[in-house]
Amino acid sequence: MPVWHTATKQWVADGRLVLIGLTQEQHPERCRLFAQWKGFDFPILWDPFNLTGSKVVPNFIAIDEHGIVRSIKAELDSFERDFLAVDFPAPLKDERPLFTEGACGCTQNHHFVSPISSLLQGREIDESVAALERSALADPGKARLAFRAGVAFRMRYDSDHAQPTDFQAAIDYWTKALEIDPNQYIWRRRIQQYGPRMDKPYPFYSWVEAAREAIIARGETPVPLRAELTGAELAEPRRGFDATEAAAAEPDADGRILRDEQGLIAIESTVAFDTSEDHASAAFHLALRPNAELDAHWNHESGPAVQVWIGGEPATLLSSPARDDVATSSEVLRFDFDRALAPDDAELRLSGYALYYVCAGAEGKCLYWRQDLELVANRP
Amino acid sequence: MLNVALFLILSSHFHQDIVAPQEHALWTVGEPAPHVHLPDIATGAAYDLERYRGKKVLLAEFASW
Repeated sequence: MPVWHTATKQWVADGRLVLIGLTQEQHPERCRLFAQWKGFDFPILWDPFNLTGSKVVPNFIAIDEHGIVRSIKAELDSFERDFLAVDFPAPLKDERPLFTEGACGCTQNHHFVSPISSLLQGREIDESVAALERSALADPGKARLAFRAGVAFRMRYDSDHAQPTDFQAAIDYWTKALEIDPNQYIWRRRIQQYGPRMDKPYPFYSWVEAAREAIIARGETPVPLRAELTGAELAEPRRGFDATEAAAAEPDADGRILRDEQGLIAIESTVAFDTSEDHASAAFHLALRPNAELDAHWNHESGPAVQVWIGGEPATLLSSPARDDVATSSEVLRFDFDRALAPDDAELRLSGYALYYVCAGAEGKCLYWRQDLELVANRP
Repeated sequence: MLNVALFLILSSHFHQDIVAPQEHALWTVGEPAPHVHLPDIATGAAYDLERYRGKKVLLAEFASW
């Protein structure tokens, strides 16, 4: 995209061309940050529901002055000669498009109007998610309905209306959609974004840190991200599990830390399998959410506020980032890790626990607590 | 012949409805471009390609990843 932006600048300045972007991403502000970093000065449209039906990006679509598509694979080398310099004939009057319901014959899909529009505007979220799920359930063979239900659930997960099961519902619907249409790479990428490292074609958002630094160095404020990046979204691809990986030391092997029986922290788990046919590996996502009703909050004064231990081979020990900028905070802390499945296993069960240093109430006690975890991943 | 079209209504001022894309590609060489009404990521405002009738347009479909 940056290459096309640079190459078309003069044509746009001369009024010979209008450049418009269209992003196929779940989170629009990530694309806004990218555009800010790259200095994109053209409008960019947001199509998280894949309404264009495109199966892969990028696509460069040349549309002439009469609204006729002249190329769906425009190439820079020949763009000026074959498109810009050509006076395309106007279509005959009876070939003009008629954008009416009758002309398209698709009125049976009109129930999409309200929920998709509402979600794109961030309103009527619960009703819209329910409506899109009903559509997907009513017509389970329609892949795009499943995909859109998944988009809706993930949108709600990133909103103030988040439900603990929304992320898993999104992954499940996207997986179902891809099973029906395995050649749809826009949908595949949506799963791989959160999936295991073995299935990543590239790191999805590893550019974000460099972008933020560059933008700040220019004296600007980076576009804030509504949904902060998870480890899976930043991870580099890998092509296998390292058998020589050193085993992590278990932090509470004797189980001596008090159990969090009052529910100071809610733990949500989501599993995203790789998109290969045998689903050989899975990414586990954990979200640790402080209980606002108990005024629970992390204490950062003694190092990482959270450690997560997951047993198995190899065992995994995850820690939240140490913070010296604040003493306490109450954000959702997220962790993810990958595991391989044995070829014949229909499911993978993991046991582990989270240890956290949490305070309750403004003047409440700050203690270490433990919450045991039983994670189950059922192979699709 | 119009075989694909996409209408996304983001305002009560519009009276068109969304028409979900068919299973095949939305963009077809030699065919009229479908109406596309989608929000601008910067402003959230609905955007309509139809406003550029009379100009040559390059629509770049991409993702930041």
